[in-house]
Amino acid sequence: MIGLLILFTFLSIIIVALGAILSKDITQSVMLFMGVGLGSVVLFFIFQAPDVALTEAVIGTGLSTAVFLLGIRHTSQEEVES
Amino acid sequence: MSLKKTLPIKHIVLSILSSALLLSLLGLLMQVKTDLHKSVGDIFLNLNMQTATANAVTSVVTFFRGIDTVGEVTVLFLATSGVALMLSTSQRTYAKIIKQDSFILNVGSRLLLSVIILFGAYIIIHGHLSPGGGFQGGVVIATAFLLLFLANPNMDLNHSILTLGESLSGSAYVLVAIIGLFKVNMLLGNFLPHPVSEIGNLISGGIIPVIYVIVGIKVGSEMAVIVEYFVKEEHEKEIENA
Repeated sequence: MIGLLILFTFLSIIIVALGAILSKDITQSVMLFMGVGLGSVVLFFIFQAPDVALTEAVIGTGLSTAVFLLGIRHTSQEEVES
Repeated sequence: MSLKKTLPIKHIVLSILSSALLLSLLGLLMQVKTDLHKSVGDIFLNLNMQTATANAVTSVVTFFRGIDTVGEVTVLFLATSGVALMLSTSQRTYAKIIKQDSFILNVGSRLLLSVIILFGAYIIIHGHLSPGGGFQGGVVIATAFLLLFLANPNMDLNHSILTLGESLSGSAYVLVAIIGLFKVNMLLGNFLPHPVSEIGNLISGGIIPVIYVIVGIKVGSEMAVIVEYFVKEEHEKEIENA
């Protein structure tokens, strides 16, 4: 049961990461990247590392996404749609 | 021959390599054993009685591998300095944004701010008892400031207090490390009393809660400064374009 959950989480992380790479919209890409962090939180928790899971939840999905989004809003005004 | 043209050799090699990686990963997952008596984790768990902290990870992070935490704090300090250098090139006064914020947004963000800061302080203070610690709690406090800045762009942080807290906590960390060197003959030595019978209490583990409070203050103030630079820079841009 736990093995199935681990496998499912691994596969979903891979799928979400592929989506983040292949996505054309950069905001969507950042959101999918946050999904990668979310999957890692679940994995760290299953593998009995709650400290690392907490760090990943706070930094990987919280602060880094906010900083990425602020950076995108900051730079996208000069970007030309192509 | 046509197959060779449509499938370049690079793709074939890449697919073989990735499938081999996936198979080895599956093989590793299949043979996860429950008896891992000779692992590094068990050695540290046996040594954990020396530091008398309920959370064994904490004793590794701040005591056995304390020098790594010093490096971590240094990296964070350098990153903050880099952001400050890059984003504040001159002494500029930020123009006020003339935008009427909604009452609900203002009050709600202030209400949430206190709760989030309380949660961050809880994570920092209970670092030696439950998962979490100075680094995580400091970042939680910084996200509270991020919320405040997003809700109210005209907000100004008192930079002198932040700088004071950051430098005082940095000096206190070095001071604690050097006192350990003189009293226990070991850098970052545990010179406060840490009896094993007190394990699980709030005041236990000697200097480990002290170190975590210091690291929490340092990380929180540095992250708050980084967040402020990012948000303020963006508003500067908006005013220039308007």
